Amino acid sequence: MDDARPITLLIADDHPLILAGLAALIRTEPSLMLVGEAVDAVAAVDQYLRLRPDVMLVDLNMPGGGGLEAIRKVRALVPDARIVILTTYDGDEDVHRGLLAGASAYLLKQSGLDEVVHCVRQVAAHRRYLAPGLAEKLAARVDANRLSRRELEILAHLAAGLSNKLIARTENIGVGTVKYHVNNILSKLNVSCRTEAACVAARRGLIQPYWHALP
Amino acid sequence: MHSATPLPLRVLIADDHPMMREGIAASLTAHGGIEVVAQASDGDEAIHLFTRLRPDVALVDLQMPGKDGLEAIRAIRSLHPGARLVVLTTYDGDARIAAALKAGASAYLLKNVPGRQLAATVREVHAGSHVLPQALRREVAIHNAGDALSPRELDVLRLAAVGHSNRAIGGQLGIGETTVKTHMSAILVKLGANDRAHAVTLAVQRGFFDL
Repeated sequence: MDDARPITLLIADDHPLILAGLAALIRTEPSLMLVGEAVDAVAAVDQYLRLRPDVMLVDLNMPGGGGLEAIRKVRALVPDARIVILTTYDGDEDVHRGLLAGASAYLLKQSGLDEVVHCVRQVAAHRRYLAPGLAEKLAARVDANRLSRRELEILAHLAAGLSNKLIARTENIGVGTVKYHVNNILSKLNVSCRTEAACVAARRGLIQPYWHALP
Repeated sequence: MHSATPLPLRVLIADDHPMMREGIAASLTAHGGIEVVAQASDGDEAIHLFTRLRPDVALVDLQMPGKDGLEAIRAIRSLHPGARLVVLTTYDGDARIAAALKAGASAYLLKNVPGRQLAATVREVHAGSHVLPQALRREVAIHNAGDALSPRELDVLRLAAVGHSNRAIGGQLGIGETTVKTHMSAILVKLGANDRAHAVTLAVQRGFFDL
């Protein structure tokens, strides 16, 4: 790579203040050049294809399908696209889903400029990067009992206050089956009751709490 | 006194995310007439800097390490009753908004606010106004004030959220199991929750407490 050429960046974030902050930070860093900004997922994909930046920074929680959708679309069209997730959500499930969608790196919004620059350079050089602490969370997740897709669905119902009977009716399965799943969920999450399960689920990003859905 | 340009408003920013602080500062400065005099990364620093610099307006994030935004607002207002404070946070939720206003904030904005609106709010708050965007006003209005959880009910629900049984909650709070049950019934009614798990989900959404 030509060392003299700055790394070109596209940022997709629906927070004007974060865009302004990143733009201000990037202006102070000669090795980076901001070439575009997008405020929703659709614009992010369009701009990526038009501008072909070296690296795209994407917020997870954006209108128009969300950051994950934008990452999947870009990666489907440009398989070697290098994408960094930049978000406030640090649950192990959030990180896992982001990397699975095709992101090369996962940064948190509390990062300082030095970390952003380091991460972008790593990713531009085809390496990967995880914010401090996230690798440990992912590692812990390997030990932890993973919930099946079915269990995640039932967990979401449980957190929304559905009784076993209602869950059974909604999912068109027997109450006995629901009880069986709920017991497995409690044991996998290592919690003692449904209430604690709802709490742990929200904290780990296993269910999408309501603020994830904010416009 | 006749000066060509009025003195800029002096603003303090308190937020634990450097990127956000940078963005707020850049946006406010871009809209003219506002000078960012200091940046704090936690509640204690905000209180200290406010006392030392006496800014015209302080922007305060709610979720910060150490002393959080709510505590910082209370402390600043008790030291400086005329302090003008604006909450700037990621989270809505009627209980959180009500708590911030009660603590002494003059305005409550979400972090997806455009820079222009943020600058306008700083000016309005400095002029003595209270500012709450329409969507947040609606949120507060939908949940009438009557259904706020009492401090005791919050204690009960917090303990339930970490998996304690009614008996264990009673033991921790030094009250009987029956009293806990009474509190729990009241909590379910007030929140319109189907069960304990639902009550925790709703309480977190509405900002009665954080996980």
